[in-house]
Amino acid sequence: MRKNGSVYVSIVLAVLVGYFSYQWWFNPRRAIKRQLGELAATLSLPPEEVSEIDRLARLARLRHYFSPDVQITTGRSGASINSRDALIGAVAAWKAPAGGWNVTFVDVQIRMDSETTASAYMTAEITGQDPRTGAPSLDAREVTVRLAKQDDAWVVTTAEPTETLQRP
Amino acid sequence: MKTILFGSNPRLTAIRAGVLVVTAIVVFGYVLLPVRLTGISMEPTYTDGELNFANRLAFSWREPARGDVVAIRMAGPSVLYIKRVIGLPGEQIEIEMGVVKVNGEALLEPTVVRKAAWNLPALTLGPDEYFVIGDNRAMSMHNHDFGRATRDRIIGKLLF
Repeated sequence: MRKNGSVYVSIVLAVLVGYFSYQWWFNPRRAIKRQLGELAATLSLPPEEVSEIDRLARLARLRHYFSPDVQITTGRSGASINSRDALIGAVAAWKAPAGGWNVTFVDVQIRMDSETTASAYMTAEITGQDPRTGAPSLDAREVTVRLAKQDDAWVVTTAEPTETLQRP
Repeated sequence: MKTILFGSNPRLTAIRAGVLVVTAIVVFGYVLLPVRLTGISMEPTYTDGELNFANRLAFSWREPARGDVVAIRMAGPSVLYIKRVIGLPGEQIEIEMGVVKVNGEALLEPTVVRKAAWNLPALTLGPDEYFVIGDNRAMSMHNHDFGRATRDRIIGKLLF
């Protein structure tokens, strides 16, 4: 009886370990969430980023998250960025505010469109400091991102904002 | 020491603590969503940094009404817009020199203290749309997020 009990416990434990290992390393949804989390961290500007080397290293890391022909629509005007190089150029041109900013993606909902393509719908939250008052500031936008698996890594192929409150 | 921490009946204390935890999870997870207001778009009614709760059951038995301060979700409930409902489904909304007009009639807004000369051409709301806006109309119209919100995005009404 005790021997059977130990076998059952071992089987349940093995199933649980297998399940959580799969979720952590192999589940594509989990991999995409992890990738988006890393992208948000790369887009964040730490207040202590003072050297040019730090800045260039951060820009170089951005290449890993986007496809070469990425299409990004920005804002209400519908202006777009049509390549990874143009995107990195635009990010490089951003003037860092005092105190930096922090980017996070929250309420991420992932839909697998095929084995190698997926869509993520989420809120991009940017927190920082108001340059005039020093008070905490928050900006948030809904974003729909499409991703593709290229060279065994998920990269962003398109990104476009969704207007929560629509006006003419 | 043990008596002080767990009372004379530890089993009963554990049950009480469990009930308290479950109640807090249900109330603050599904009924009263804690919100911290960020920004100045609802001043002077609500100020930056204020804490409040969004009552998620407020619109279970009735639909949002004009004047309600509502919580509007983005992709999920982690980040919310807090705005006042000024237009109901099917109505025509227009802003002329800062004055909001509903179906052509000026709307009385006692919560709005100062009005900049905002202008918005007339638009008609769809059957599922509400027009929401902040109380701070002294700020620039371009820095103020407002507009149409579909019913499914309105997740609750501010408690206070």
